[in-house]
Amino acid sequence: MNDTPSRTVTCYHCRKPVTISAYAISATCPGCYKGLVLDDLVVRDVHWAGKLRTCGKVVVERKGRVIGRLIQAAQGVEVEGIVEAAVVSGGAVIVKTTARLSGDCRAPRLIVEPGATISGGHFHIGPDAPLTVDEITARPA
Amino acid sequence: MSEAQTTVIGRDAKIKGEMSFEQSARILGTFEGKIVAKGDVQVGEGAVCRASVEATTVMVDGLIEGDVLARERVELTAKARVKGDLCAAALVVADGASFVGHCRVGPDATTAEHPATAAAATNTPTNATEVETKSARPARPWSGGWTAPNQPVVVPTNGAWPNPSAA
Repeated sequence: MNDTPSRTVTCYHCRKPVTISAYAISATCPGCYKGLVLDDLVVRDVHWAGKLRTCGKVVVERKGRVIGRLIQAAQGVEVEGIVEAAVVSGGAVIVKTTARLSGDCRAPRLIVEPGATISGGHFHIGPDAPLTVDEITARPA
Repeated sequence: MSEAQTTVIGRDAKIKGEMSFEQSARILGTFEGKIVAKGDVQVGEGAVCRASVEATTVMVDGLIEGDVLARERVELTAKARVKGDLCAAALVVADGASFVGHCRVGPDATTAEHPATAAAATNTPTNATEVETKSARPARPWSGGWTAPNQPVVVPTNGAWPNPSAA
């Protein structure tokens, strides 16, 4: 009898549910055999990355800046700094007062605090927002 | 939004065209066209608004298919459905609201060109500065690889190039 607490996350590569230990910080998807980042990612300074993906949450702090193609977080994205990338989130995208967001956004919920700046990306907000990234990553940077 | 200064388009009304309001307006029926208001515009629950909306504050409870420009704020309630580009100084999105389109939010967002007008402006001759810049660029000097305009063709004789100053 296995008493280890477990949780289920969705693989951001193949979209299959994966059951893992509640204490795991990384895992391999048994469906596509690709690695999964499970913990929350916090960006405190400038971060150049093609893709920033996690099954947890992405937090861009006040002095943080993300320059890349894609931020994909299953549990939400919080932006206090600058994000120049497409955002695909399974949870709420919170754009705080000091934040600047330029890029596409797909999320079930969007919270924009007064003073935040959003510049021009294509947004798909709502419970029916597709969380696939194929169209976004296929687009030239 | 005070009732005394608000124009209400009733639930059973279907209107096509362009409406302009000096004060606030509340749309409860169906409207197609363009709405311009100096005050606030509220699109009520069940209302269908296939129009571009321009107002100080836009509150959406129903459906808008068109561009939205709010000088101050756009509020999308839980039952709001918006398909179109959105441009506002501030944006409030409630849980459950749906929005598909391009989005510009910020203090400077409304000072920039409206998405709807920006698309139309591309067809108008607003590229005067660009044309001027192109004409101001000095012509590239002739490199001799081809016949320059208004230059006589000089054929070298005996393997020597003629001296233009001597001619």
